[in-house]
Amino acid sequence: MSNILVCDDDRAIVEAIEIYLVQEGYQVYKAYDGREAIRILETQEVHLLIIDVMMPKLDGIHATLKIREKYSIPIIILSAKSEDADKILGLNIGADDYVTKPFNPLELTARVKSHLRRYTKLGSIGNMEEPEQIYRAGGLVMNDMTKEVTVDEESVKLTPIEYNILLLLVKNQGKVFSINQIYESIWNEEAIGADNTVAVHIRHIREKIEINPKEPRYLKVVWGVGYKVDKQG
Amino acid sequence: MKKEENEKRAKLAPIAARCRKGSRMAMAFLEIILLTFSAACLGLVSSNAVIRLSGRPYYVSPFSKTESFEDADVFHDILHDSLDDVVRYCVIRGQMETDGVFDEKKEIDIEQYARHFEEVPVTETSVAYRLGDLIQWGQSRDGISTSVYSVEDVEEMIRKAHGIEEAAGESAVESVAATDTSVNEETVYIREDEDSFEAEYVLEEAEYAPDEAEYEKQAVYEEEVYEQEKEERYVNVPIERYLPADGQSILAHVESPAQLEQMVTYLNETVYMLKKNYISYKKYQDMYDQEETNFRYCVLVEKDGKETLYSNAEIEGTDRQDINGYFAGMGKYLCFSPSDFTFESNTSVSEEEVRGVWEKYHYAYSDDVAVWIGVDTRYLYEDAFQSALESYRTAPGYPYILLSIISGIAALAVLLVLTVTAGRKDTAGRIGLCWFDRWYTEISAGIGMSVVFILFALTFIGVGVYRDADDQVRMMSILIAGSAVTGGAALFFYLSLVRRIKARIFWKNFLIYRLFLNLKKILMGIYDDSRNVVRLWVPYLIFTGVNLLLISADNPGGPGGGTFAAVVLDLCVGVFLYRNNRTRRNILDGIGNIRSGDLDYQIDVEKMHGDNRILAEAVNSIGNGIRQAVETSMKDERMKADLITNVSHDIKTPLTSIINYVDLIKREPIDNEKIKNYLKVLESKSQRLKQLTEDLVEVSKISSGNIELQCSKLDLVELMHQALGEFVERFEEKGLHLVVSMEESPLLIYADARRIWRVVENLFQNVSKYAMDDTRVYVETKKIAEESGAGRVRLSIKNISDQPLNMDAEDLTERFIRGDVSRTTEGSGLGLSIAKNLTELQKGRFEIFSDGDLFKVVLTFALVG
Repeated sequence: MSNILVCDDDRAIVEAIEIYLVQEGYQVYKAYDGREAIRILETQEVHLLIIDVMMPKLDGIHATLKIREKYSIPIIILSAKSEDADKILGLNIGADDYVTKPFNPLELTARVKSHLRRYTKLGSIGNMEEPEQIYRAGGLVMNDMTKEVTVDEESVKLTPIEYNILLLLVKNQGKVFSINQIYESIWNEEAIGADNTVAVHIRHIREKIEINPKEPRYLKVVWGVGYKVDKQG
Repeated sequence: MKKEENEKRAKLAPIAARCRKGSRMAMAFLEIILLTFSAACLGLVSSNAVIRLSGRPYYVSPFSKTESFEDADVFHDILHDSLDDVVRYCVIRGQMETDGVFDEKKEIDIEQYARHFEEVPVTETSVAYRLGDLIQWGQSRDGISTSVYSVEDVEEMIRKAHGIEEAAGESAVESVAATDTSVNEETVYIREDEDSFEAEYVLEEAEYAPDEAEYEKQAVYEEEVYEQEKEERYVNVPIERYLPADGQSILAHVESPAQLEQMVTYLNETVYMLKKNYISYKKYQDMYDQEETNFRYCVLVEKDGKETLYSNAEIEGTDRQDINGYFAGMGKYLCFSPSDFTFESNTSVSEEEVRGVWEKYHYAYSDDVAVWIGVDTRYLYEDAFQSALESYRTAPGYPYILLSIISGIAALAVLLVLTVTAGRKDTAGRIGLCWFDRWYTEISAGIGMSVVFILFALTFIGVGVYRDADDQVRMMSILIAGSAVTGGAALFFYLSLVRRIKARIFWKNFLIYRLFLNLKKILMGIYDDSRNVVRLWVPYLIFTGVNLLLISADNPGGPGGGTFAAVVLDLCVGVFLYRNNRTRRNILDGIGNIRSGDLDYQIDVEKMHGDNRILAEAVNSIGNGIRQAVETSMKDERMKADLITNVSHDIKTPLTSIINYVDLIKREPIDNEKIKNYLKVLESKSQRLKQLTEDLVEVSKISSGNIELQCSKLDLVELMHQALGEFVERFEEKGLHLVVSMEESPLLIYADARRIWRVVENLFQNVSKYAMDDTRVYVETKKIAEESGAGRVRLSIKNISDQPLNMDAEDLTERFIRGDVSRTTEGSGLGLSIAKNLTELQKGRFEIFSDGDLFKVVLTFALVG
């Protein structure tokens, strides 16, 4: 199983996270400041790091910077700072994800799973020959042959319309589709007085494929313009 | 004790004042009496100082009493007048007398007589009349009356007169032949005639008889006048009451109508002068008769070897030695002969005065004339000298003058006392004023002066009238009454003036002073603004003055150096003014910049001077001040936001634990239902706490402006569909029925996509939380064309509230801030506040209406192309 290092100066939080992760079958190392985290990293094999920002001795940001010098493991920043600037900063210095406190334990474990999957499969995926009708967007994979959809290798059940909408967006990653465009291309008829049908479907898709539908990773809402699936790196 | 004394004094004060007033009245009365007495004395003296002798007034100076009568001015004046009279008398005697006797038969050539003032008498036509006739003619009421004839008629008449003369004039020519020669030589005919002047009236009657023929003639002429009325030119023909000395009509003596007119003029003049002279002659004859006067005269005229003596002295012959002797024997005498410059006198009459008299009558005398006059100082006869002497002796002099002066001094003294005491009301020195004293000074002065002047003038005129009438009693009574009234009036006004000065209202009550005060107020107003006045007007006046000076210094012909210099000066001043104005424009721009929000703007004061520099620096410092204030306030806001953010971080950490452990407890198998319920409460409250902290941070960031918008064009209709897609299922859960009315897509607005989503999300959340179950929710977007042309879009959301809206629409967005209304259990209550602030940040309008249970939110955004 994977080893996860949890670093926070609040011991109660660390222990709570430990409980969740242990339930999921991970082994957990605990650290209470940045230095300690680095020390553990040097001595133990760690596959993923959850680190708080505001900590004594060495804060999360500086610790992340130092860790990134040697390690390429997924790093999830877990912070009470919820401003955009903080998130951007965290992601820019090398963190893979940014979760704000107070967090939803299910969401956190889902993200941990997702990052670990990607981290461990990274090598093999890169070398695989891609079949013709498989479309990927990060952890989202759509097999048009089998009409299967997986997110981080977990199968997701979509209705045909939902599937078609998602496929349209995944095929055209980075492009924004308005409700009318989606309607016209899926239903193959002119959109007369668009209604909320498409929006409801999108919402349903999001609820199925996203860990946190309010902060979607794949299917993003461009308010007032349309929907899109971002090109994933 | 003291109090009593004071009271006593207070009681006595009005009585004392009354006594004072009474005594002052008495004093004023005394003053008037004294003044009147003084005036009366002076009047008495002056009325006696003028005596009237033979119709002439003579002034007897009351100060000359010490001199002898003969040295007094009055004697000198009478003597001088007498000399004048006598010289004139002798001229008239020369005209009217023959050998010292009035001769009415004397023939007078009218042309010569009329022109006898001229130096060289010219005689063209000689027409001589008898003296008596001329005097009679003059004394008749109409003088020379004339009739009007046409020129032709007069010519005819002249011809006729000449013809008649030739036919029937033989004897007449003879009768005057003897004297005809002298007619041409002398002005005055001297004919020896026995008739005295007293017989004149008899003669007059006698002379009317032969005139009947003349009247007939005249009637004939008058008929002709009627016939010839239409002729254009007319000539005045005298109605000949008296014929010339030769008995022929005047027509016979002239050659032409023009000459006739000339003769008529001469005749008129002669008649007029002779009449006057005759009256004087009669007067002087009486006045200077030997028996009537103490004055003796002797005028010796020598002409053409013939000596004529005019005299009222008891002397015979014309021997000068005799005459000299006679006059030397008199008390006062004067001897004068202009021909040999002899002047001898023991009188005060000087040679110049005598010559002055002589000049007047010089024309009538030949050069060889000698004049003697004398006064018999025994004054045997009643005449001017005697009555003058009488007046001189009896006239009231010094005693009365002295009395007048004494009473005058007394009056002055009393006046002084009155002046000092005037208006004194009580011992405290307050001044009592009467109604008159409060009038405007000029007006009362005008009234006072005119009243006094009129009274004085009336008195003066009255006195003058009765003095001239020699009615001394009436004169004196008028004088006394007049002086009393005038003096009283003058005293009243004077005392009023004194009281005014004492009460210090003399100047204050000036009408002009009042006007001046107003003017002063205005001037002071200007003076208060003197910096401006000095800065503007002084340079302006100097500039204008220099300009004018330069231009006026120029030569009058064409523009020269002065004008050029003025133009240069004007240009310099113009440039100066322009620069000044430009600088001010810079300052104004700076103020505009600062006002429009550019607080960092600084006006460059380097090149500014004077007021402008002060102004610019002030503007700069005001700008700096505002900037600092704004910065401080922004910093404060930011600090507040930071504080809230930091506190919220610190809250979030324990909150995380709470939420996590609640969740962990939930995962444990619990049988106790109570504990399960408690856990639910804990879970929901911890979630609410989480929401609150998040909203709190957001609100503080929005209100401190610590938020960056990423605006882009977006379609509001699309947005609404997306939003509805998010919420439609939640609405359906609550049984809310959506009624959507959308405009045709797209409705593009310029906004921050995520923020506007936040707004709509908050609003829909509100709906899903607070709308009554199973009601309709209306969502509408509508385009509005505004008058300005810019399109707007309005988004409205209406629903029926589950709970009664117990607050004003405004309060719904402010309730968290105000904190004075109880909060509902669900939601942070910050949702509307955030929505409103975010909307307004994106230049939208956010309005809430509540009507009963109807809740309505209206958002308005500007449409973009």
